[in-house]
Formats: sequence, C-alpha cells, structure tokens
Amino acid sequence: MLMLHSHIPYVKRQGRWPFGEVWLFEAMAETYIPLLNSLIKLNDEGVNAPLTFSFTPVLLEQLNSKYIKHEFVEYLQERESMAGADERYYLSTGENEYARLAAYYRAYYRDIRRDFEIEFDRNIIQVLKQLQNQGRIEIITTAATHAYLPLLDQAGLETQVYWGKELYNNVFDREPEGFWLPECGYFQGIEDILIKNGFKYFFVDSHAIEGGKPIGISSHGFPDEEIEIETFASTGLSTYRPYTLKDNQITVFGRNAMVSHQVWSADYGYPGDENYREFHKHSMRSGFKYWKVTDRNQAMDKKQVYNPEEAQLKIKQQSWHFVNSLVNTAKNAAKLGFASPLIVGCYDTELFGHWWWEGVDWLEAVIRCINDNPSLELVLPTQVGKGRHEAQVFESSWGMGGKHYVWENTETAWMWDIIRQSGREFEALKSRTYNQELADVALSQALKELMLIQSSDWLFMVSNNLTRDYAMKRFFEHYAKLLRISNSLQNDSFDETFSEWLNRIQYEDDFFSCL
Amino acid sequence: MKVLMFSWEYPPHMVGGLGQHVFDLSRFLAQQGITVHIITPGIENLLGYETENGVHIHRVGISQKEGEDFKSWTFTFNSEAIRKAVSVNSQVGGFDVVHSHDWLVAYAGRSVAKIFEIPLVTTIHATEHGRNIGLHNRMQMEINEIEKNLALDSSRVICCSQYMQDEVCNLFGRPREDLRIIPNGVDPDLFTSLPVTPRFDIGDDEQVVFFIGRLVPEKGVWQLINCFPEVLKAVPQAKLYIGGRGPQKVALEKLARENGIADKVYFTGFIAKEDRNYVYNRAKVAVFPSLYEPFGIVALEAMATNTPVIVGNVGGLAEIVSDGFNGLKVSPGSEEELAAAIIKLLTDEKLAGNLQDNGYQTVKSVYSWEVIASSTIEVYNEVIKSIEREAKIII
Repeated sequence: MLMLHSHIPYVKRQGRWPFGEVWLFEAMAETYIPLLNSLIKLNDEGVNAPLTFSFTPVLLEQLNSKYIKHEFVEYLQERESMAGADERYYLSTGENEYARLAAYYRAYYRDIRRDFEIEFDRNIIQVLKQLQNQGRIEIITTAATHAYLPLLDQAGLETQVYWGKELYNNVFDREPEGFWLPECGYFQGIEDILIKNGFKYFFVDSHAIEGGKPIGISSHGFPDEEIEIETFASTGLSTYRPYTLKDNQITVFGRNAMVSHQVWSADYGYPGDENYREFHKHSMRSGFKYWKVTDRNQAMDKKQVYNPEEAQLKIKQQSWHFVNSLVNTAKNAAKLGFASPLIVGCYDTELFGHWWWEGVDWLEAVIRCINDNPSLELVLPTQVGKGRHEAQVFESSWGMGGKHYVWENTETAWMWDIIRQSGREFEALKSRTYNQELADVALSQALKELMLIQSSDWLFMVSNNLTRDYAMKRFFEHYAKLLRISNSLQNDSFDETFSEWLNRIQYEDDFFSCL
Repeated sequence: MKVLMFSWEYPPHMVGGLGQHVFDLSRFLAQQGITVHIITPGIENLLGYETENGVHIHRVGISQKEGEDFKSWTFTFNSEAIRKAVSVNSQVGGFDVVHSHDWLVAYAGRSVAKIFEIPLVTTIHATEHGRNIGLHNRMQMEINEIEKNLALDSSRVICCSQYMQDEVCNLFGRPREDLRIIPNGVDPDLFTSLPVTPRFDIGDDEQVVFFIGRLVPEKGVWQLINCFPEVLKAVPQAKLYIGGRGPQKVALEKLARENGIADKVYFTGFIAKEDRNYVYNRAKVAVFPSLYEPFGIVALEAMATNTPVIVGNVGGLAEIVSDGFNGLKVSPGSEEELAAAIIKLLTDEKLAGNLQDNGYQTVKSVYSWEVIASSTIEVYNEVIKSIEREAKIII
C-alpha cells in the first residue's frame, strides 16, 4: 500500500515570493500535475496504479480557487520565459550543456501549462475526483489546516477533525473513509474522535505499533540541541498486518520501516544519488537548478552539471532495487508467519517531483515493476479491510525522535500558549448569543483564523529556523485578526470600519467556502 | 493625533538608553498635543494602567520567570501587547500611527499596524550586527532577521544618527529616502538635582577630568588611563574620575597602578543620578574617547551640564561635535592627541568657556526634546498622508 500525504499551508494572497504562493505553485508544477499525468498514462496503458492520497482541506481549497488557477498560469508563463532567457544567455556564453538544460526546463513548463489548461481544464480536483470515482485511487482527509493533533486542546481537536471531514465532503461529494494524522501524530484518545466522525482507518509510524527505535526522518536545523531518542518498548506486534482498536471500530495501519529507510536514509536513500538533480543549489539568475548531487559530502561549488538522461538510468536501477527489497521483505515476513504481509509506505507527496526531481518517474517505474511481479500487489486501504487483532498504539509521530519534539521544544513553547489561548478565546465567543446579523459572519471568520493559527507549519518553520520570520508574521497576524474580531463581538460594536475590514479579510483568508 | 507606541523599556524598567528615550519622547509629544499610549511589559507592584506626564501607560504580561527562555518571554509579551492594543484601539476610536522601538516589539508593531491598517513607524536604536560587530550565533542571526523585516515592513524608519542610517541602509537594504534621522535628546533639567551629601568628596584644588560609561574596550577608557601621566606632567592637580560599571573594571584599576597614577584615578563604580550631577558640576572637562559609538548621548549630557567635552572622532559622536566649536575631537585610539586635548582644556580657560557655551546651545537648539518631538510629528504626518494617498488610488 502506498499512502501519499499532500499538504501546503494556506498561502493564498499571503505573499508570493520568496515565501508564500510560490510554494504552492512549485508543488503543483513539479508534483501534483506530473504525478497525475503519470497515473492517467498508467491507466490508459492498463497498468494498475491504486495509490492512496490524503489532501489537507486547506490545500484542496487553494487548488479550487480561481485566483490561484489564474496566478498559477502566469507563474508557468514566467518560468517558461525565464528558462528561455537562460537558454539564450548560456548559448551566448558557449555553455552548451547549461543551454540544453535551460531548453529542457522551457519545454517542461510549457508542457505543464498545456496539461493544466487543456488536459486538466485548470481543475486538478476534477482529475482527482474522476480517478477516485473510477475506483483507481483512494483519497482520504486529514486535519483541516494540518494541526499537530497530539498537543491540541480537546475543542481544537474536534474542530480540526470535524472540518477535515466536512470540507472533504464538500469537495468530493462523499464521506472520507480514512484519516491521515498530520505528521503521524498520535496519542491515545484520538481514535475516539475519529470513530465519532465515522472514520474507518488511520495511519501511524512503525514504532507506534512495533516499539523499538523510531525511524525519525532526518530533520534539518536543531544545531544547538541534542535530543534524546527514546526507544519504545518492544511489543511483538508487526506492521505486516493492520490492527483494530476499540472493539473493532477503527483500523490502524503501521508504516513499514524498510520502505521508509530506502527513500529517507541520509546514507543510502535514493534521492541522494550522485546523478540526481541537486535540490539545494540554484541559479542566482533565474532560480533554475542546473546541477546534480555529484557527491553529497562535497561543497556546493563542486557540483557538476545535471544530465537528465543519466538520471533516467538510475531511476530504472533503483526501482528494480526497491521492488526487490519488497520481495525480500515479504519473504522474511513469511518466515515470521505472515502469509500475505502488508507493506505500508507513507510519504509526503511533494517529495516526488518537488524535493526529488526524479521521484515521479521513479514512482511510475516502481508501479510498473510491481504490476509485472506476480508475487506483489498494490492495494488500497478499503481493499485490505478491517484489522482482526486488537493493538495498543504508542503516543508517537514520524518526526525526529519519534514523538513531539519537532513541534514542541524551547523554540515553540510560547506558540503553544497562544494556540491554546486562541482556542479558549473562540470557545468563549461561540457560547454567547448575538443580535447582530454580522455576528455569524464574524464568528465563522474567527473560526478560520483559529484554524490558521493551529497549522503545524508555523511551529515546524520556527523549530527548524526555516523561513522563520514568515511563519512568525503569519502566526501573529492571524492571532491579531482573531483578537480584533473577538473584541468587536464582545463589545457588540460593528461599525462601518469593522464591517469593511471584515469584508477584506474574508477575501484575504477565504478558504473553507462552505463554512 | 493618536499614537500607539510599543516599547520593551519604560521607567522604571531601564536596561539601556531605550527606556529614557521613550520616556522623554512620549512626554514631549504629549506636551505638543499628541495622544500617546505606550504598551510595555508589566512590572510587579505597578499598575496595569496609569497616566504620567499626560502619557497613557499600559503594562501587560509578567516579568521574566527564573530560567524562562528570553525569546519565549519576548514573543509572549508581543502577543499580550497585541491583545492590549486591540482593546485600547477601540477605546480611543482608532490610532493614527503605530510606533515601535527596536526588534523586541517587532511582531506586535507589525501585526497591529497590518490588522488595523495603520501606518507603522519604527525607531531602530541599534542593530544586533552593530552591537556585536558581526553575527556570530543563531540567536544573533535570528535577531538580525527580525530587525531586517521590521525595517522593511515599516512605512518609515527613524535612526538617531547618520551613522545608524548608513547601517540600516547597508544591512537591511532599506532605501535612504524611507529613513529619517532624528537624534536623541537631552533634557538639561534632569541634570540639576544634587545629592544632599555626596558619596565621595572632590577636593577644591582638584582639576576634574570625567568619564562616564560602561567599562568595555570600545569606550576607549584604556587609552584615557594610559595618557593620563602625560596630563599630570602639565597639570599636576588633574584627577580622573571614572564613573560606571563594566566587565573590565578590575583590569582598568590594575592599569592605573601600573601607570603609577592609582591615587590620581578614582573609580566611582555605579553612580547615582545626583552623584553624577555632582561630578559634572565640578568637572573641568568630560572625555569620551570611544572607538565605536552609534550615537553618543553622553556627550550631549555633558554639554547639558555646561562641561566642555572631548570625544573620539567616530560614529554618532563625530556628528554631534564640531571640532573647536562645541568640543574637541581626537582620532580614535590616539593617546597623544587625547593628552594634548585634555591639557589644552585644563589650561586654556577661554577656549573651555567657548566650547562650554556652544555645547549648551547645541543641546538647547538641536537636541532638545521639543525639537525632536516636532520632527517625530512630521514623520507621523508624512506616513498618515502616504496612507491616505494609497487609499485614494484604490478608489
């Protein structure tokens, strides 16, 4: 089973570049569109590609937005002409390898624009919907704005799960069956809320089920602190089968450690191959990436020019290698008594294409190999069905250290105070009655601001010291907006200035149209 | 006009010169008819709200807890300040300008200005890069980043000197036309109170040379002590008073002994306001031979007490003093020039008198809080107009 989790924070009308909307455009151009192209192609060829996706509602709403669609097309045009300018520049300097690569990018953005405008009719959601309605893929939901659930207050939890379900429903016209816990963040009790909202299954990291050492995907930053990695008690359970919780009411899938390591390991993970495109080095002129990893231990100025054909060879080799590891893992599982073991791979969707440029091609190659191998079958969660064994799951996440450290540490402790304070603020507002007609509008805007404050993205960026100022600015702005609305509601003061302002921020923070 | 100010320091919470600055600026703005509300951190046993000199003071949040992370405390204060600002803003019927001082209140200033669509004016008193002569760790880089984004997000940035303006312009890339230079000010009235009984006695025959400041290398105290034997050769009654604390005090005392002038150098340690005024009252000359100085308020304080000054020709000091007119300038680090200048002022009474008179006039005309408050109001008017213009374009 392959579970791809897709998320971009709410960035619409919150700055374009270097931080903001460009994050969404990159994910669309480098991951979502190429990946869907790939799935469509496989389907046309009769190759089975049953992938499981989760999309945060806040991402779905942005993909659905007319404004974003329009700006995205402009972005693609800009990229295309920028690549053209690079091409002319490199031809003039006689750097033909670079010129060839610039032409490759020019064609790439031209094709993506054609696909988006013509094949997709500017509607990524529609394509997803079709694939799901044909039973080819399964789409589940997650917390409304990607809140980190284990540390949230009860009301916040309920809000995030409930709106995660409702907003999915609004977009896909059906009830979501599964729930993706953001960052695999789990604590005992969350299943009660999921059951209450009708969810049938969710996912956790390996050590949540099996115990032992967490995989703890490598996290950048944290130079000042050493964290202690807890080893969880060994349970004797295995992620080769799904488990059930609370008297069979909900199923939990555990992420497989081996398939995670193959992709994420800093030492031997696939994306770090010397022939693949280097993510971290880009042209100062245009932002395009012209270099290959070359040697991971070497400095940035030692990188050599990227060659897409060379990379293609590596993709083939690595997809065979991956499928071989699957077969071997299954054999080992059989020795342990699992006749048809389940292997669950969970990844961020944006890893494929955006972070790992060759990732979409690799995934396509893996799917083909699995189809060619009679001993393997790619499945959807609903095909697996319910777990039959009851399990106890550890409080955990897939972040570094296996627990909450990435989102709760000395850098972010004050943010949690504000998040909880905001929750109390909103609950107090909700419990009052209002005479003003505008109060309903104000109240639902307050809920949007609260949910934006709860996004785990701000915590992550502050922890990792990445685009930290952008995150703090957004965090404080949404908090200030919530307080202004709250102040007006409490004083029953809806003057003209306030209602005009409310109009404007409805436009600024205008996701969750059904709310 | 209604102005909302965010400041990390306000009396009695004073760490550096920021608290004094905000105290003086706000009361002189109030004198000129501006409504000023200040939001500043809470202090135990002080009221959450009071008015002082016509200024409204709101204290929010609690003082730093033992062991609490400084950044956490700062950002929590910012969130409390936003909460207070939201309610005060509706009480006063909307502010016209938000004015923030330094990075510690950056997020309160930026988000309140943004949410209420009010222009933001920021005073950058010093930069992290300048304070540390470079950025050497994660914390310093983070602060630099916050300062930069604050400078870029404000409608106008006020700096206290040409020197600071250059720094803000070069470090943060904010164009010069968006920066305004308004110097710090000194209120001569604050330098008149004298102690009932001074903590130490200054003999009638002593020719007092006075230094006051933190005892750190960049202030040039080293050079001052080294040149003093030369001064004593020409003026045996000269005596050096060194006021202030600092990490180098012990080393400086040792240096005085090594120079054989221990009995001619008196370290006052921390010096209370009245005792400081007492020394100024008796001083023949005040010396600030700094090697680095963004503004140099001490030179103005000396001028306000009618004491002739000698300063290092550096940073803001170089801008305040015009050589031979309202003070003497020496090359930073030069002990020979320093000794010569001190001897000159101890022996040439006419020159000393001229410098003293012109110095006092400088304080009264350029660095008076009345003038500074008016210049600040001009900046406020400028940003209010620019917002109105923007609004018209949208329509």
